[in-house]
Amino acid sequence: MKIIFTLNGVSREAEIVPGMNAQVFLQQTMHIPSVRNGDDGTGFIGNDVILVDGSPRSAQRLMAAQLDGRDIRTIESLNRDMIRPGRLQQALIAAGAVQDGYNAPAAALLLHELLSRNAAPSREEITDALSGLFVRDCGYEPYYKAVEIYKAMVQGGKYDDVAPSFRDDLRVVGTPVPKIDGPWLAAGQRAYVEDRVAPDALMVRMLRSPHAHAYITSIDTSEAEKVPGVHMIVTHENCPNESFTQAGQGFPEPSPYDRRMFDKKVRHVGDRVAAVVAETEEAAREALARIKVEYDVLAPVLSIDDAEREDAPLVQAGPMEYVVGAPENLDELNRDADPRDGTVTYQFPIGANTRKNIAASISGGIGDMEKGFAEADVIIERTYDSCQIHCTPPETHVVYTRMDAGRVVVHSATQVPWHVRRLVAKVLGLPQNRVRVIKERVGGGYGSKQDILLEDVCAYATLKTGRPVYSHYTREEEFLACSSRHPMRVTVKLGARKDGTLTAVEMHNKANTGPFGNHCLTVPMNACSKSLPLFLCDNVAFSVTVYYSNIPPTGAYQGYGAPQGSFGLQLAVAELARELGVPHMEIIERNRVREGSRLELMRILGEGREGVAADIKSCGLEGALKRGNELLKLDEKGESSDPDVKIGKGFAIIQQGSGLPGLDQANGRVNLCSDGTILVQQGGADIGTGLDTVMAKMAAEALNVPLENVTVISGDTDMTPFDTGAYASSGTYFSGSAALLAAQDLRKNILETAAKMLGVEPEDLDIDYPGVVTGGKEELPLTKIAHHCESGEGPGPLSGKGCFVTEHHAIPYGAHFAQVTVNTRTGEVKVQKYYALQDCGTPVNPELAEGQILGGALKSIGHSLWEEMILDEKGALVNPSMHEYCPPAILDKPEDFRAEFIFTDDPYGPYGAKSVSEIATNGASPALAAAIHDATGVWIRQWPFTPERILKALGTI
Amino acid sequence: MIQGFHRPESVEEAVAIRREKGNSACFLAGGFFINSPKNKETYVDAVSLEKVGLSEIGIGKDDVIIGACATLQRIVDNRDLPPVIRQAAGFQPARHFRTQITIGGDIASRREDSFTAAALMAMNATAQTAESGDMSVSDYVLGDCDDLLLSITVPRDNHRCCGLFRQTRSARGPLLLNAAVGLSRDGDAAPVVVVSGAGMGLTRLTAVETMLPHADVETIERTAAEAAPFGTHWLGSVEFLKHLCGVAVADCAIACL
Repeated sequence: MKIIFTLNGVSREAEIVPGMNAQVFLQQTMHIPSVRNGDDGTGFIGNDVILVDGSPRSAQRLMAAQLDGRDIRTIESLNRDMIRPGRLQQALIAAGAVQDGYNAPAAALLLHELLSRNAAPSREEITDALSGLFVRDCGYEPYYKAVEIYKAMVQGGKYDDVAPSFRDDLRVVGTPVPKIDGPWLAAGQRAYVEDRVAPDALMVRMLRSPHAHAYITSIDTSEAEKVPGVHMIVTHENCPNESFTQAGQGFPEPSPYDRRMFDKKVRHVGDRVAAVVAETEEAAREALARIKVEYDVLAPVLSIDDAEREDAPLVQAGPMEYVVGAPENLDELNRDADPRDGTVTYQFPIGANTRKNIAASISGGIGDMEKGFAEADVIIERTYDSCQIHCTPPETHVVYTRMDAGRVVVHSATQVPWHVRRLVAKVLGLPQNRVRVIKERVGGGYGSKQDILLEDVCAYATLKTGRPVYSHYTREEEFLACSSRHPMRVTVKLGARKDGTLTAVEMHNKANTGPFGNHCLTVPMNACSKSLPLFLCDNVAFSVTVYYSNIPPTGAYQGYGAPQGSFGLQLAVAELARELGVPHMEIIERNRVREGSRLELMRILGEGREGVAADIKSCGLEGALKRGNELLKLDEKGESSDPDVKIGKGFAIIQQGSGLPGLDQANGRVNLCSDGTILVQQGGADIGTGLDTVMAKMAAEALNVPLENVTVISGDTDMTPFDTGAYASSGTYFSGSAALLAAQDLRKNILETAAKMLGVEPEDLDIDYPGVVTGGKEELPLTKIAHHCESGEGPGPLSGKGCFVTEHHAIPYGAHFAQVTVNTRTGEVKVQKYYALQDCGTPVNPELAEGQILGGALKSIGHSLWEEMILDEKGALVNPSMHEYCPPAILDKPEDFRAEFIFTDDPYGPYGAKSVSEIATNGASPALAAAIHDATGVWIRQWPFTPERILKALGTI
Repeated sequence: MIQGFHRPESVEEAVAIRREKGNSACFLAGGFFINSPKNKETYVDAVSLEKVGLSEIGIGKDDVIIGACATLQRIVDNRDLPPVIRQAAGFQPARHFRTQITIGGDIASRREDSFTAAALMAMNATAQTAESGDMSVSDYVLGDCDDLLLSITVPRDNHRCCGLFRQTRSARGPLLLNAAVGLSRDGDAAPVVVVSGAGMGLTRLTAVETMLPHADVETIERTAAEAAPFGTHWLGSVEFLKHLCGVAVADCAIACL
């Protein structure tokens, strides 16, 4: 049928199949990139919002025929011109609400609709307008600020500071400045992988295992190959015979190579069985349906208890091999290995024994545990269970590959472009100079995009067919076949004197890595290494044992094990305080780390290598605890007017790291352009966190030039130098430091060149704002110096380079405070107040950092209260949709939800900065559990704190 | 996928097209449920109600009439409607879904999380259908009538009071329990108790209805818990769901009494 409608003010007509989905029609036929799908057509995420006759609708829940005769508006209608955002989008950027930006157009449309019917909406009305939007990055609070900013803009006035500023001595670092990539994200311009796909790209769709644990005994693709448009089908029979790990970690990885592109054995429901490469989605799906597979189904291993049973089925039963450090009894261990499982290769020993389903293990400690417990007046031992949690980025995993001049080009939504290049080259058997990886804008990563899930298959298909290839996970695939938070069982034993002084701390962590060992050592280890150093105790011991199983894959997720460790240790300390009759705050103050502490414990808490003791040069815990207590008033008991509702308060202290000292490396180049502007080339991957803005600020600050004169190119393996990637909270500390070093190097080169031009010494000169060399007989603008350098008599273009490596830790700290209500009849918990007080040194982008703290806190509130990947007895996920999985919406946000900075000036971080966002996931679980105990008198030691668990603990059911 | 899109201009024409096309045709108002991932392959023809009207809301002295194509958001916004209906419509948490979902679609989809259906059943509301005349919303929802819904007539709250309860796992997450209890203020209509959630569709608890309005709260709670036919569900144990049901029905009854 023919439909005629108005699209952003322009009359359009189109011939359509009536039932064609309106989102698909608008994105693919009308070429509006910002009307997206992220949730298999349910509309949950809200990134498909359009205005139909001025009213907001989910485009995925409309058919194209319903657009006939309507006025349709998308984000383009709000833009100032073809490419620049309008005032409302500018307000969103200024407020820090545009982070990964994937849903920014939808947020702008929803707020536009609100403001067009109500020029001065209340907070409740803003909440209502955004009630159907899902974001994971900023905790929703910046949207309220954005509305205030917009109102001020409309009235022509100034708006209040969106966030506090720090460092009066600096121009842009420590001050809110609109994110440099904000305008094009908020304007809905093409920026993400899906926006780059050529119309002739082939589609990859994956056949996935219905079984949690099985051998493929036969696979017949002959009928599938006959489907018109099918180019190739890849299975374990014809894929490259190269084992690897999907973990995007520095080489040599502390993760075993325990998978190939396709294996003969499937190890989880949703595991790869075959990939169809076809002209269209429809052809690919038809071919998938025609592939005949026979399985020899094995008993699944679904829990730590299952995995450690004496007669447990082996998840990785293949032979083990070691690049270095093979154990002496390796031959004996391999005697009964099953070659069908494939070889498991270790780069170095990580305490694995696949014959016992042990993927990794490690233990260590300092002091004398026996003596420590003997000195204790009270000893408690408690066990805490965390469940499997999903990252749920709004943008699911997506890859687009193509050939260019005989090279494979990979456009990826990744946190680790350099690791992607290494892995793709390895699997394809290509040298790295024949692979280019371009990190596009990323619609949320949170750790999941540190793993390499699709790039190998798409790149292989491109290499084999010569055609561009595209693949984009469905939301269900994202749940089934993406890394997630490891379930852990953390047992904590504490010894303390009557006054609360800790005499011994023991932590035993059993973790479930699922089918593969990506991050299997480091995530569970981090549960110890990012929690134990918060307390100063002479006698500390830990152990970590990680088990293979047939649950969906696990891996990196913001916090990287620290949330589970923090839940155990912090709540155990709260329980100890109750046992001793000592106020929780007192026991924390008596034992916590402080500025000047030397952490010997860090020597034994390295990531697969020996660490170094850490001297704590900055620690904002004192301020965080003081401010948190001021806000929440722990000593004042909350009273409810409803006898069924009890109010409680709790808190926890937290830490993370800033990158991996001794392991990570970041590099940058900063170039002086011909007109005196600055081009930063940096390998770091901005995944929506504002890292590009951090790097631009570093250059602008060091060179004393306006921020708008700085452009950043990042995350492109052809165009930028090596960087280990965006993980382990490394962005600001490592990539930011590399950019700063490069800018300082360029500054030195500029001054040396200017000195020659002026006939003076470089030490006599300086660069003053806005990019003018002063101190000589005349002022030299950078333009003039650049021109001189590129002239026939010049020395060539000026640039600077920086390589950042360090052994120094710059540890961020914080304290999170929570007030909850618990309905003792229904078991329902509501978070009334949540205050996140964090020390990230100098907050480089304060408004973005504030949102990221709240985003992290809200994620972990979700993990604590609602989120959980639930499996049936056969290992199938029963809730693989956003609606059923329950990530928090704006309606779930605490009523009073704040992030505040506790300023410290770290001597190792760039301009005193430390990492900021990852740490924010570590506080909610222990703080909420302590608050629930304060309200009801019961300790909930298992995620999530569901109404049923609370009612059971209360003895109600 | 929908291949035929029909735009009748009257109820009669709409019904005739639907009759001609049979079960592969659906009536289409907002399209929210027809276009859901679950349903989008179910139908071949859509009979659009866009030109038929059916979206008016009329306020009378003793009752209100809500056109089947009125959206949930219009119901939330209409201050002349009984608060309980507005509250139930507002239980759909996403505003931009409410601007699309119609009350007719919400009822006809017979979902466990159709809060308006539960509230209308408790309110003893009447559905006007194109071919079968009037019937109670309860009969419509619990039966298999697939007639075009034209409007819903709801008694004003001076005749009937109603208590609602809803608990979801998270604000936009799956339903744990939905309950609605309706009692007549003038004693001329029977109590209605409706519950749903965690895999259990909209269900009348007649054991509780027969003891209202005179039973004590503990008895109501216990009877509702015993009567609720929950099965095993990943959202919670039967014991928990029954407990919650008892609490919910008791709280709703208290709100009425």
